[in-house]
Parts: sequence; C-alpha cells; structure tokens
Amino acid sequence: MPAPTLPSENPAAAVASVSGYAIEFDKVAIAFDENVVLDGVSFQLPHGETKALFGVAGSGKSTLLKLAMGLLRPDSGRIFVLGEEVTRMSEQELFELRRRVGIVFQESALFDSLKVYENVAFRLMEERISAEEVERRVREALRFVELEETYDMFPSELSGGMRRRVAIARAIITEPEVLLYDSPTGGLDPVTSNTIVELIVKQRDVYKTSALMVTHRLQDAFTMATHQFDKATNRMVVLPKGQRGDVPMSFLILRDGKVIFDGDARDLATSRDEYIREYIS
Amino acid sequence: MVAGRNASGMASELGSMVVTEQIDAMRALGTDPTKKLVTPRVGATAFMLFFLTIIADLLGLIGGFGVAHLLFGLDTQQYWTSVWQVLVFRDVFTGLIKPVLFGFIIATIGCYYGMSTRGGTQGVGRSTTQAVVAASVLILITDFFVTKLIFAIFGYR
Repeated sequence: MPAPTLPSENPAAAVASVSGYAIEFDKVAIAFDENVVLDGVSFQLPHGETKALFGVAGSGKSTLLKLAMGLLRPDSGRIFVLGEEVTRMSEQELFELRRRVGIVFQESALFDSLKVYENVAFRLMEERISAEEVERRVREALRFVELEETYDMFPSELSGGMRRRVAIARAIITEPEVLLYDSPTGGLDPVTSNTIVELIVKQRDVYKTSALMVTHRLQDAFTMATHQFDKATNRMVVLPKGQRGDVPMSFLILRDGKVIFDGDARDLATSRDEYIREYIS
Repeated sequence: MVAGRNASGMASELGSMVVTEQIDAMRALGTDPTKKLVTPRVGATAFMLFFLTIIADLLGLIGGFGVAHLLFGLDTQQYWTSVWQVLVFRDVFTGLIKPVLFGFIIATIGCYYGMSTRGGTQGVGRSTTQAVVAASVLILITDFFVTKLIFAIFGYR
C-alpha cells in the first residue's frame, strides 16, 4: 500500500542537532518500590537511526521511553536527548525539549473528550498558530496516515488501528527530530500493522527522523531492516539481497533490567547467545 | 452535596486520564496538565459556587415565603419586609465568602486525588471515594474555623 506524502519533506530539519547522539543512556537505573526495572542501562541512538527495543513483558521497555521523554526520573544515571541532559532539566525546560520529540503511546492515549482534529492539532493550538494553518497541517498529517475522513470524529468512534494512526499523526505534525513508538503495531491485524511499519520506515528514510521503537513483533523490526522507502513509487520496497540490513536500523534487547544485545540485524541473526537465539526463533 | 458531586467527578475524570496515559501524553505534547486541567477547574468551581449560593439563598427565601404564606397565612408584604429587616451585612458576607473557600477546597481535593491516581480502574474508584471523604471532612473543619474567625471579626449577634 503506497504511503501518502507530507508536502514539507525537510530532512535537514530532522538532523539539526549534528553533534553527539539523538538519544544516549548512561548507566540508567530505576526501581519501583522493590522492583528493579532498569539496572545500569547504557546505549546510544545515532541521528537518523531507528532502534527497535525488545524484551519480555515487564522488562522496562515502556519505562525506558518515558525516561527518554522525561516523564519519569531515573534513580541514577544520565539521559541525553538531542544533546540536552534530560535528567538535570526542570519540568518547564522539558516542555521546551518535548516540542522536538514525538511519542506514540501503547494505547494511543488520545484525548477522548476531543475530536480527532483537536487531538492532532493539540500542540499547534497550544502554540497559538492560526486556525487556517492548523487545519492545513492537521489535514496533511491525517492524509499521511490515510485518515483524513476521520477529521470530525471522536476517538471512541475509531478502531484500535485507526487510533494508533491518529496518534502517529499527532506525534509527527510538528516534524519532530526524534520519535518514540511504544508498541505501535501491538494488537493490530497484519494489514494495519504493515501500514504502520511503512509509515515508520518513511519517517526514517525520507524525513531522517531518529526513533526508538518498542515492539514485541520481531517480524516488524526485520521488515524495517530489510526494506527501504522508495520516494519515486511512494511505497516501501524490499532491499536487494546482499544489501539487506544496510539501512539505519538497529536492535536492542533487554533482560532483567540490563541490555543483553545492541547491534544490527546481521549481528542479531548471527548471535550465539542462547537466550537471544530462543527469542528470535 | 457539591463536594460529593464535583470532587468525585473531577477525581474520576482526571484519574481516568492518568490511567489511560492522557496526562502523560499532555506532558509529552509540551503542555503543563496543572495549568491546562487543574487551574481552570479550581477557578471555575470557586467562581460558580459563589453564584450557585446566591441562587440557592434566593430559592430558600422563596421557599420560606411559600411555607409562611400558604401554611401559616402570613401576608406577602409582611414576610418580605421582615426578611429585609433581619438580613444584615454579616449574613451576606459569611454566606458568600464560604462558598468561594469551599469551591476552592472541593476542586483542589478532587484534582489532587485525580492526578495522583495509581493502579488502573480500581485506582480511579479509590481516588473518587477518597476525594469525596477528604473534601467533605475538610469543608466541615474549614466551616468551623471560618465561622469562628468571622464571629471574632464581626462579633456575635
């Protein structure tokens, strides 16, 4: 299914911050009561790369995204996002940084009392942008996720997949430099999942957006590692044999609060670690 | 009555937003949920409770007139004249300062318990109950001290 276009394709804006990494975790630890969720997690996400995060349920994947967004504070360690140390910033300073980062929550987290266009336009309306400009950009974003017809609907009138796509539209409307996806394809049918994977690949290859993607679906991440977005045909195409994995895509696996794998698709496929082999089989 | 209705409504509404990650989404979208959701509720409740009290007082007077006139055959002019004569500034002041304080308490408690909700739908129920109990108790305590203060300022009648 060809993905629709956003008119202002400006990869330069996506890589405005050229020094350091898009996201860097340095020995980050967090526990809830006695339950240690992350224990000394360190990794880097280079600019323009998409990193898929794996781990069994409760391994701290969603917590990791919330830490990156500054929605949670770690007990120890440092987190850098777009060169800024999130762990030292006040909530007010974080509001500014969050304007450059988009997030898609696991259950979409759309505001149920607002219509779809108000949800997608939320950030723009907060920035007091003119109504005409807001409508134009909301329609573009909804066209991007192929849901322009839902403009006047409430989230309760949408299916799970549609809500997820509206959440993506809300996250990308300000053309963020970093995107965080929390199980964007979880619980969706294969066709809808594929549409969402294609949207994520397009964000990676066309807009050069750096992304962290939590997922349980290994096949989605492997699809992203073996495909690239073709601007000419406006769709995702499979890479030729031998070039598969030559896209800015990496994998990270968490186990018992620690990183047990951080590498690309080839490293993952050739890993000799028993747990990893069992995980990907 | 308002504590039961409004504090529970606010606690459950905000609590549901917390457990469905809507509050996190708002923070992630660069908006302060306290400014966006709490401040307007506190202001609106304090403001509207003031006017609600005026309406309630007026209806009370009309109800009193109905009873006095229909049951006891009191003359219309006699009733309204005596109402006007016994009404003093202190009564009006006391009657209208308290709703503003109570409105502030109801909304603050409702929003506090709503925003501190943890633990899914069960947590929403717990927050709602706690908000009603806390708001009601705090209103009784505040009422006692505010009445004492007003009596101390204006003197006993």
